[in-house]
Amino acid sequence: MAGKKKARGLAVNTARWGVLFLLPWMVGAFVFFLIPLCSSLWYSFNQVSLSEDGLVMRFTGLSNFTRAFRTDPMFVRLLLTMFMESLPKVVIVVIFSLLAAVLLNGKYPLRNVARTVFFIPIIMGTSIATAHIIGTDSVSMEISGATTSAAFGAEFFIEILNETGLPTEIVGYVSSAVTGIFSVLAISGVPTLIFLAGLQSIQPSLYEVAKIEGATQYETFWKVTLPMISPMIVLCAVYSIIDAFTRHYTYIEGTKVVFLERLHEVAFRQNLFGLSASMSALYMFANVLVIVPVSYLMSRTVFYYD
Amino acid sequence: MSKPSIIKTITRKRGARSFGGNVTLFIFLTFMALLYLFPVIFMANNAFKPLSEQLKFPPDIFVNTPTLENFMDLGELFSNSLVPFSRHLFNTLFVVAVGTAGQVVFASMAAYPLAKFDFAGNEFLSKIIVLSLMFTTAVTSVPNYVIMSRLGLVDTYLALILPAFSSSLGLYLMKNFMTQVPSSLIEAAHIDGASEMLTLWGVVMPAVKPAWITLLIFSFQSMWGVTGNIFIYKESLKPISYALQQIASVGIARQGVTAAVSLIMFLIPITLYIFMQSNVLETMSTSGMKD
Repeated sequence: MAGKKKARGLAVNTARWGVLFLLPWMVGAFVFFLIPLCSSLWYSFNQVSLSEDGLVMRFTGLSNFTRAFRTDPMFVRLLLTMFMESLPKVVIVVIFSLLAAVLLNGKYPLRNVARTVFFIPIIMGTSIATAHIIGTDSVSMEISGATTSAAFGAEFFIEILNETGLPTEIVGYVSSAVTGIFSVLAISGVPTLIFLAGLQSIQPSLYEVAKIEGATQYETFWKVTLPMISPMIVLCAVYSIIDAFTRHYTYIEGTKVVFLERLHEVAFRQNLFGLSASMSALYMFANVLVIVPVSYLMSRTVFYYD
Repeated sequence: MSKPSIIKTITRKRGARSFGGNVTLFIFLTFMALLYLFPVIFMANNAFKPLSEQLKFPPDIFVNTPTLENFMDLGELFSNSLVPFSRHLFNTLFVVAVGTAGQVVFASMAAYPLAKFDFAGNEFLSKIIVLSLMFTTAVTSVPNYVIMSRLGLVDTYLALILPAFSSSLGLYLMKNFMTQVPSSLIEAAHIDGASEMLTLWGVVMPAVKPAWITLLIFSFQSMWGVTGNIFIYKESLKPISYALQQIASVGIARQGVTAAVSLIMFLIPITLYIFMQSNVLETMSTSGMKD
């Protein structure tokens, strides 16, 4: 009886700590995530205009959404290309960054140099470093920093290839592959670091056991490293999908259109806040559509150490 | 008779693979490193090019007649500006330091119960986190501004710092790592009479050290580039990246200065990273279970 009471006391105590720990984040998430999300959703059903008294709303039902799909010249294309181009890229990014992390976690001379080099895309990714190649608008810089350095690198390679006088088909093929490499590199920096941290969190004793039991390196990777790091694979897959989506761009009639920049442009250049809000709602819905099944399917195969 | 031969084959096989593996690894890493380094080399060279070389097309990778004129021009621009350079630098350092520290602390605190406590709503909250990851503030500038101005945070450092505190990426990262901490380790701490606060900071955090170091790096990196141009209007409160961006925005005549700026903005985080990883990232987590 007394023991039961004490156990409940402990549970209550734990719950109190839990609430205390979660509270700061929850307040922040409420103010900076839920409120903007809900008001943005509300905008998407309205015609929004700026006036001296602030925002003026006029309820228009679903017309913003139909406009996004039917009238807007770019939206549908951006959405479709986003799915088609980003998803294969994400698979490559996850595999590549796991591989890179395993390599960087090994012991060999100049390891620190190698790790630093692999960190470069993270800086380039969010970068101010490439500011001068693109526009001055900070949002576009933020979003397209990495892709520009990527595109720039690709242009350089294409330049060289053109000099060599190869047939244009071959040059075109090679250049698209090169652009692909750069954009994979650009988004694989963060997953690589996450995997690296994951690898370092694996208890060394597990490897000792594997070694004593006579497992080969190959077996150790499949039976120890991979199960232990599987939660990070889900994490990285989710992260890279979101990252690839936010960086998505495509060429429409020869000009480069960045998806998120386009949303920004609709809102602030064309003053169609409602339309922009409905597009961003659809953009988020597209994210959910991909991430929910991916994380559900993947987390069923994940091994949780308990 | 058969057993030793098996052992021999295994040993030989492993030896052979690891030698071949090392060579492949070396070639692969070198190739990747060159790809990664290419933009950096180009940028570093660009910063030392005189204007005539800057505007050359197609651009040369390496500088022909290196000059410090770009950096001189940068210094001159700053000495003529209304707000001293040191003030912008302080703004950035302050925002980055407080924002990063707060992000790591609050994300870890929130991640611990989500990862290790069993309570109603845990699943739901975890889903909210994933949802908020997909939420990019780039497309909701209007509601964000409305909230900041309602809270009276426009033109304060808090407008840049507070959103970082509730970053969902940090929380998601920490939560994923904390679920991997053995529950028996936490139980042991409880049996020894540690409070939840002590368990978190004394037991769980050391066990996930690689995770929070990583978060520290991410957070620094993302806050370093903050320009705050929606929330900060006072010149004296603007961060350094804004000031540098202003310089760059003038156009082609400032291309040399911009290249110098890019190099500086790149060098600071990379220096920090080198320092962090050689001092901290090296430690393998050994503070786990000893069984």
